[in-house]
Amino acid sequence: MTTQDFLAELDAYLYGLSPEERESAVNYYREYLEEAGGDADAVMHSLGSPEAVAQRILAELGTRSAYAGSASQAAAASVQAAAYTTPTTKKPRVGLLILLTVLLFPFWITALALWFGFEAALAGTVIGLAGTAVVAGLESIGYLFDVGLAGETIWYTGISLFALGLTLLLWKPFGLAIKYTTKWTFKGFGKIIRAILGKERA
Amino acid sequence: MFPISAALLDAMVLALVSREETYGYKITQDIQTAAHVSESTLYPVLRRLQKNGALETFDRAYLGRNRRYYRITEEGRSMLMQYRIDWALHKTQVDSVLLDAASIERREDQ
Repeated sequence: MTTQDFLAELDAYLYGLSPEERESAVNYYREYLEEAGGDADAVMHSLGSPEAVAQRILAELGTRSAYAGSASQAAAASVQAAAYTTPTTKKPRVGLLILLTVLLFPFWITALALWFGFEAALAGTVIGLAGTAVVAGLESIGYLFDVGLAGETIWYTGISLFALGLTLLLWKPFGLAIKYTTKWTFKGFGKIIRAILGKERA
Repeated sequence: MFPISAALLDAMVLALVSREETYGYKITQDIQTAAHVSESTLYPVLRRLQKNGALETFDRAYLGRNRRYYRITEEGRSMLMQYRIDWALHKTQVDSVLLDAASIERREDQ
């Protein structure tokens, strides 16, 4: 088994943990095997199977269900549990989520409305400018045929070009602003809901 | 022969890190000179001590790759101090039975 295989298998066996914990553990063992240098194979051998290494990590850092496997691990777990507070898995608090959703309706609907208003203002500005550019452009063409290169024609051409310039200038930053604020808003709501449900992110 | 308890292992790791900023591989080697613990024992201990706020980590480049160093925090130092006191007490109690027969006789006289 190559060190790459070892690390990949270790990562797979740690599927019960958060991405952050998995990354930390895999980075640790990658570094560990690098430190061993030429002895990496011997060290990998003395570490044991990736599964055994993962079990040790899960027993210490994971949830209870993660190491309900063998008797020896259960014994080790009870020793650990006596000495330290071990994270436990809880049932998702769906009832609490429903209760808070109802009770806090004025707050979250306001937050949602603020978000919607903000996005609508940004989108509206860009759409309005684009519309102005098109309408004023058509208007200037109409005047060109009606009265030739008179004041009105130049006036509408100017407005059209001005609106077009602003549209081109603003659509990208406004688009990005809409994209990120939307992402943050939904991530934020997601986090709050997860926190209420009491989902473990060990 | 004598198993190392989780608390003792914590204490030994804290003591090693308090001496110098050091990294996982070296900590494992140093612990193994004093105790028979398997190589995969140390990571969970280090990670937990880090999460408890007793240790903190920082990365330093070494030979073109990364090395994660551990450093003891103030909280870790006070934990270590408490472990040292507890260990000294524990050691004295065991020694009084195991090494010093006279102390047992004295106790019986009382």
